[in-house]
Amino acid sequence: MKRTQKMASPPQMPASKGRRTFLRQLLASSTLLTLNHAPIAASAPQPSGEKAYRNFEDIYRKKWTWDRVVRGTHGTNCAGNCAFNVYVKDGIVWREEQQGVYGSSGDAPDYGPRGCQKGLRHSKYMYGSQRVLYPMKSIGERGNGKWERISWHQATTEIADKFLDLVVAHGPECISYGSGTQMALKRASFCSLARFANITGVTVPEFLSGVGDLPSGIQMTLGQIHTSDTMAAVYKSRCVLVWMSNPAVTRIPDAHFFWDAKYNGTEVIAISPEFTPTAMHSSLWVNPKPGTDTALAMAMVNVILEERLFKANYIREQSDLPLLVRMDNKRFLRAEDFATQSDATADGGGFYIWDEATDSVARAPGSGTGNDQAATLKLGKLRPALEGRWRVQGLDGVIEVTTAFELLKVRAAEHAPELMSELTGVNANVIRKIARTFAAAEPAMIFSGYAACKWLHGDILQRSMLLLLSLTGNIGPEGGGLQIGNSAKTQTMAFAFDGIGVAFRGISGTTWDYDHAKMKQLNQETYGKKLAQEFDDYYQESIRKGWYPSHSSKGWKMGFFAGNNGANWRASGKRWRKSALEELELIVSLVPDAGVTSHYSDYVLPIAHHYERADMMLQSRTPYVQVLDVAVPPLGEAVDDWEANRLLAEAIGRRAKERGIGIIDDVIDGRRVQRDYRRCLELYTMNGKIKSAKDVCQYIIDTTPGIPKIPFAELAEKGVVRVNGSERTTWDDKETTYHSEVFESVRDKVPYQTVSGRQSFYIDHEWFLEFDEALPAHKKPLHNEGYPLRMMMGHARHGIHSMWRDDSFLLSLQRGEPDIYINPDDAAERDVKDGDTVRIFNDAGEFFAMAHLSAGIQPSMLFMYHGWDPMMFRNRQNFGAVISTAGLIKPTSMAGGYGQIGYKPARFSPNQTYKDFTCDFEKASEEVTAGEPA
Amino acid sequence: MTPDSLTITPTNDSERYIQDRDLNLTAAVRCKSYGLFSSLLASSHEIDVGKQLREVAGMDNFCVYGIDLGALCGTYLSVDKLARKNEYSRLFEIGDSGPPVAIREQQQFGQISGIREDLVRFYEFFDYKIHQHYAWAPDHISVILEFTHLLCYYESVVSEDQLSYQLAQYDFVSRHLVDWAPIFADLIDNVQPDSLYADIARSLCLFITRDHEWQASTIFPMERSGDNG
Amino acid sequence: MARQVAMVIDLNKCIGCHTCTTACKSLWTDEPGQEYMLWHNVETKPGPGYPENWEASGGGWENGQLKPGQLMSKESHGTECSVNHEAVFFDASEIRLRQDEKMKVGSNWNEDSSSGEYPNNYHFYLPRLCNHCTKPSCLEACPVRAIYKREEDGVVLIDQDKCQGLRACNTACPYKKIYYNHVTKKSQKCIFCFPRLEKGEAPACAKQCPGKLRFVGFLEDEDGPIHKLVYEWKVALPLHPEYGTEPNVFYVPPILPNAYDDNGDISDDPRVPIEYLRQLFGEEVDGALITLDVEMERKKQGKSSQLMDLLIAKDWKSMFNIPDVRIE
Repeated sequence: MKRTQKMASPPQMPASKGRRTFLRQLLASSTLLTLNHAPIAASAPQPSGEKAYRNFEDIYRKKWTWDRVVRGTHGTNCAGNCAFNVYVKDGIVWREEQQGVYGSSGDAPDYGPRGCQKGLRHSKYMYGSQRVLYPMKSIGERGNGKWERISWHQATTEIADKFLDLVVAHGPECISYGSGTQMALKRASFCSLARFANITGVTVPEFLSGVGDLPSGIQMTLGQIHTSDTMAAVYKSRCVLVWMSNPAVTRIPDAHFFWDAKYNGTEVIAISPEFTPTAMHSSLWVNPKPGTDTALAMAMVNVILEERLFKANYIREQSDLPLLVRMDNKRFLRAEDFATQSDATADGGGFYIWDEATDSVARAPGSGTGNDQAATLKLGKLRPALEGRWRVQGLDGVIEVTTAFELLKVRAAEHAPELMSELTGVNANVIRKIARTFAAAEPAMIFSGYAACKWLHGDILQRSMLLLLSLTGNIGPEGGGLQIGNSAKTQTMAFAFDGIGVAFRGISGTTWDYDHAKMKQLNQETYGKKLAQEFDDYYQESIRKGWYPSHSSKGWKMGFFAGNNGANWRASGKRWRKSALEELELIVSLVPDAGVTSHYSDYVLPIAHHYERADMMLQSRTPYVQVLDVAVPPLGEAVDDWEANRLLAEAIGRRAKERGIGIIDDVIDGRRVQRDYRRCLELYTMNGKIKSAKDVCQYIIDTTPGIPKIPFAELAEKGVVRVNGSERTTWDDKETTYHSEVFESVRDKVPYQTVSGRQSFYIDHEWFLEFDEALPAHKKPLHNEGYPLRMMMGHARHGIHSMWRDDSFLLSLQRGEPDIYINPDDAAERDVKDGDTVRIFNDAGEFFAMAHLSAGIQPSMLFMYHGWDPMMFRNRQNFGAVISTAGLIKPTSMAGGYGQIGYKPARFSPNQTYKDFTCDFEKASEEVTAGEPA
Repeated sequence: MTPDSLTITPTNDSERYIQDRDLNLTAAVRCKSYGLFSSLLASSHEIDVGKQLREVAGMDNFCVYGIDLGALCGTYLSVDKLARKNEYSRLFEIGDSGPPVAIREQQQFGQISGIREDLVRFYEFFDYKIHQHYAWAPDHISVILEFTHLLCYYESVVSEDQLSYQLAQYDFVSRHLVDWAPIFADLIDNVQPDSLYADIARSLCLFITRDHEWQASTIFPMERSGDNG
Repeated sequence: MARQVAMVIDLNKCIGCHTCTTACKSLWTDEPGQEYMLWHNVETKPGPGYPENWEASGGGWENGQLKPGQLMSKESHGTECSVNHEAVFFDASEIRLRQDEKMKVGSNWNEDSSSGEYPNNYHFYLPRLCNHCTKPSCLEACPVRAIYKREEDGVVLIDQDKCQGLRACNTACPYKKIYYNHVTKKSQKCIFCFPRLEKGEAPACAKQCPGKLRFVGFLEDEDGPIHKLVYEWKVALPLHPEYGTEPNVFYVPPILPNAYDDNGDISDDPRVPIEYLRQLFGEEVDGALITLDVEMERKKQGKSSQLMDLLIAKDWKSMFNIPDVRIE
């Protein structure tokens, strides 16, 4: 408190002659007291002795108590959704603390309190300046930073009008509605999008492949993509390869299971080029060069085959390795090849084995249709040979056949450890050692992540991982398997279709962009005409064959982005902004926080944050359903996603009526669908039955298998509720919500949903044969000519995508700005010191970041955590600037007509490539850093 | 905040009392002034303050500390409503990554902790309950000014213990307004000089500075050793 | 009889997530003057830590006397953080979202800056808080006796009423875990969450740690895990015992994957040089590491191990053993 001079001038000018009049006027005026922000206070309290104010400490004497403690979590896609208590006083959230009520799965250690530092920051972050509080409309040129605050009514009305203009002129297909990290995993929120999309027919790009998260290699092999168990399953494993995943950074609430397992005798082997925080605590760290993981996997396969460490009976029954392959054309021997088979079916069903018991060819159990054998994988009396060569009488003469297993041996021999050692940089002894350890462990697990999907040839890596697991009998047992992801069988789409029918336009995010964002040109510029042409040829061929739909006919004219910061992470940075985003006639963002995508939007609609809404989450990593609840009302004029879509539906319906827009004809998957936009709102709310997100949650609770049938209020009160049938660490109970079909095949011998009915390692689709990918093999990753360094990226510890990345406290625990990890020798060569600003570049672009030297980084590579929003970089260019891979649609990923391999959004479609590029770095020039605060 | 009060900061070693203060002349005027500034800085998207301002705009010579509040209210009312709303929201409510000028104290002084807790404790102590719709922003400048307005109101109407409200006003303004007001005004000047809100902020800054000085001159004895800003 | 509450932190499980740091920050150091304080912090080791180079700053005891120490500047604790969301407006294309001031020093500046040479680099995380020492040099150093150690639990506290801001404790603490509040003009530090202890609740850093790696209990509780880990198994060690203050926070030293030999094969050599671990934990670390190895090997062979079971801590709540601290 500053000392002040006495005799400062009083409020009124002394002795002004109008003063008395003025005072009289003032006192006579309407109530002296005006409270705009509070209901009128009662007449003044008369403070008694203890209530007297004498000093500011007096206000601190009263014990701080909470008005309410609410259960909640952070509805983002870290897939943790940890149980928190949220503390509220006077309508403000002050802090949160983990609820601490988790139990355990089986006899594994309990889940503990879970939670992470980001969740603990949310009570601060939610009030930050980055919050979008009011509907905003862009004034002038997109991205110029000039905005107008408008009402929800005005916003939705204008958006509805543009929406209807486009629908009438082109049909709803030209309008996209993409969800992202901040929306997609909250069940009620996603239901709201799905139902809105089902009613309106907007194009919904699924977000798995769009962000490079689609494990299509698993789909190719097992006929499903969701295979993982709870995190506790790690404890049940005897050997875990942590490969393409960094759980110490990305699975913070559950990483302890790895170290618990290690203490319990499990061999935890971290495989990564750089020394990760996961490698730090592992039993072993293996450091292959970036992009050589498949070579390493196949070298391990070679060891297992050569040293006969495989589980013969398992692969005979479960895999396609015993199936007979024609040596002339390398295709499976099929029913139609036989002259004598009278029940040969034309659908490609029916594969063969060589039965050692009878020394003759026999139908493989589980394949084909129309016979009893097809219904089960049980071998009965059959003993399928794994090795050998035989001759069979075919339609056109003698056919020489061998097993897929034999062909695999040849392929594996090409990847012998001694041959792969130099390529991978891993000593051959080390390869042998880990292969043997893996094969000897019962069970063994590969704990992987979506990084396995982001290489152009990531599908092959997944296939080789599954091969390792299958050869050793590890697909199926508790503590085994490929742990990448699993999806709840919530009735989201049933909710969307309820009372309407199926009229949903879901597509692949990658091909949508390819069609709309000049990707062939990008490929040309980066990888050369030959590759660009080849990739495009197959792309167009696939469409001609009807394997994939074309998106180019209607164009892309409008985009909704809900919790989706596409301009942050698209694999071509600013370029995508220019070639795709900026071409749109209207861009609408629905977000809680500002980000680069909202900057380029025409309308930004404020969305409620995690503690301001009711919703629910389920993630397979723990056996619990988690609630989100309204601790405080949404800030400003924000609303939750359900309500936002309701307001849009209302405006569309109203304007359609006012404008006399009648029924619009549409076509979905070849079926005619009629859309009456005037009925948008009533359809959306199921004729008023669904009034809020809570009602949506109740619908999900009521209809999803495995969730106890309780009222939402009970879930809100408890915070977490255990899912039925989840005593074990695996989701092997049909009644539970994450049930993985793998168990049906392994335990109950039900055939896989693949062409052969078995785990498919040999894929004889014509395109796979053309590219010599019928079996997995190492394929060199692409690079940018003239640029020697691989820049690897990973999910960050201090943010979930771009959320919390700009939190001031978390930034203070880092370097305050985006930093990139560099090997000290590489840095020294370029005269770069720790803390210098560096320019990272290739022909596609450049960006600037702070150099962070670390001896944990492999030479000739860089490492950067992702999620930093372009707004945090100079020139608003983040790492996307050097990533030129968006157009790399792998030809075999456009294949179709082959059972499990064929267009199925969110199961099989081209995956977004992120990693096949190279770059270089140098110290940033003086001009770049001139003028910045020292 | 802490489960129990832990970080007890140093107490003034002497009690304070008020002198040289003519309630009749000052309390109502100051009450009205704070109330007006609160209204002038409320969001016109949310609240219509026309009535309060028209009263004063009609008065001759509503001058406080040499600041013509009557004229200021008149100016406010003369600006086109939509233009005024836009100016307000572009300065204080919306923007690329948030608004250019913080209208909430915690936003402005992000580094300094405990601001909202301090405010909420003051409000609770004096039974000032913000409507649920605004509860999330107890540090909004309009709310802070409104609370000060309330304290002045109490000072002018209670029959005993005016001292509580007088000391509370001083401490509250010291802690939450006197440092912020000049920064607030400077920021608006940088972004949009010659605007209505630049005018309002300048006037507010003057008002707060002078009122704070005047208040201090009526409080005895003041803490003499050191200062904690 | 005086009782001593203690903590054991297993460095084999710490993943550097800073949930502990954030828990402490949001609970205690959120008042004016405390912005730069991290009563609890996590640092990458080897590394200068927080405050920068605290291990070279003296303090503690030497030959029964207080050893002189350095006063650490506010800057050495790291630039504070305030993101310039507002400024981004000014010139939309030029200004980027960043710290108002460029950071040059931070509490975690060296996060994952590994030492040594690839691929035999090494680093791990070290969570640090006040050790509530048995022979606190801070208590001894205070000229006005503002620091006291509680009988009922051994928690060391700075009486904010008595403190005169002379900062002798700042220099006397060899761990540099006392911070000066420039606003209130008092020294402040970790209070071991004593209001929580009094309700039978573990400190926030321990209770909110998702890593399940922290034990809290009383040293003399023979049935508890702390006693076993410190006195029986001897795998939980004090940090820098040579400072002489007898800290009551103990660490289980980290075992990283073995180093590579010159051919790129896996060697038998530990990744973290033993000399470095001895620097941190003293000579006792050798024995602790051997014990851990032996017990891990038992589990690999399918045999039982009480030590491993203790460290696995299947039952999370069993890691915290705090009876009501108030004694009659």
